[in-house]
Amino acid sequence: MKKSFIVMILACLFSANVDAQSKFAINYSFGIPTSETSDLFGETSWRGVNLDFSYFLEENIAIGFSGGWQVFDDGLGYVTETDGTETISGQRYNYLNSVPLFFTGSYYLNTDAFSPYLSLGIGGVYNQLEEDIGLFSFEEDQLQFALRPELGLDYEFYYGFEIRAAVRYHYVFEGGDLPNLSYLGIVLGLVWSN
Amino acid sequence: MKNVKTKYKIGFRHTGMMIFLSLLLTGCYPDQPERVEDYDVSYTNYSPEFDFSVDRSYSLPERVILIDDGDFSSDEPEYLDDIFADAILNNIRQNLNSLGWTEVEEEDLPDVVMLPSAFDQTFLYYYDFGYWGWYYPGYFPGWGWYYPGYSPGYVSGYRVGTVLVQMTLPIENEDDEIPVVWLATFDGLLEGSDRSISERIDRNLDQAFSHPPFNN
Repeated sequence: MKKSFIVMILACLFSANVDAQSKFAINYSFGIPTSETSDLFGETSWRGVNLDFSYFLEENIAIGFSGGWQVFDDGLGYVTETDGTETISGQRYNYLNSVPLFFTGSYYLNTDAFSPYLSLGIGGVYNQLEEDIGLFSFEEDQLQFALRPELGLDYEFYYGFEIRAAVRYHYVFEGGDLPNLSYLGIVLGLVWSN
Repeated sequence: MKNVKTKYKIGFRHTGMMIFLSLLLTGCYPDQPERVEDYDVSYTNYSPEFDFSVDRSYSLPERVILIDDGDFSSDEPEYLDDIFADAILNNIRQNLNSLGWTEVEEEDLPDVVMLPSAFDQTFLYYYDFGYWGWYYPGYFPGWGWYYPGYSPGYVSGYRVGTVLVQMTLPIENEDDEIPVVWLATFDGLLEGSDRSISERIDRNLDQAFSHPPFNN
């Protein structure tokens, strides 16, 4: 069901006309856990996708929005945890579905074929954290306020088509019962511009 | 010329879409339990008011009761199959003996009475004490349980296969409530051969006896 939904959204986006002075990007991303995310996940997430849209107000200034989905998971092996007089043992798995949603402002240093840019995103990250031990599952979800500074480079390899490489730091503020679930995103994508 | 360019664009779009859909939709399965034993959980809790470091006498019934309802309304409970019951009883006996504790008959006023039970669906810490009426020394209808100084947690509601072992103090009956000073549960899926289930029971009860307070 989820896969069908994603395919449907992507099909709509690809079939839509892109307005003048705008960029649309679809990116593969991998996430490197930092801060308290690294306490829960020791491994890099190789499962991520982002969609970016930018509208140019001036030749090198753009505003837009960006959304995505990053999945972290880690098998911690057989663990024993004690809390007061309680002790539990079992195979431990952690899962995190992280859905970043940002309004972005971007500044392009030039408009040549190689076009480096700086960007700042303000928005939130919807996090769904699941900590499983054996049959037991403990789940929390929360929309957390977040900031996302970004450094990237667009390279136009064909008229109207670019390759994007970017580094994005998702700084996620503690919220609800969830800690600071920040991560560094490395992004590689295709950009359609006109 | 313009048409050619448009065709090119469509070609790139389709190629890009296929690449990203492939990345998105293939190989996206996270680490997760693969074997039935990966779902096993050993859980223990105990009363901080009880001294477990002293050698004790204990009694152990010859059978493990099977509980399918919180209320007990028949003359005799159902019992767990011997192959599983033996795995549970032998494990408890072996672990307590290795602590230096001594097994006695229930009529010989043991310090503690061990009560092993099994659930296949509904799990309750406060099941009807009447299930043990056939065994418990001095039993009188209407008795209940209490957990002195702690609250059992984690295991509640519906699970698939639970073994519960309660360590009780028969001589400290307060207001018809028997104190449970230690409990262990093993939760797991009831799948696999009888032998493999017995081995999982054995392994997980061993794990329970390696938890506090017995590892101090």
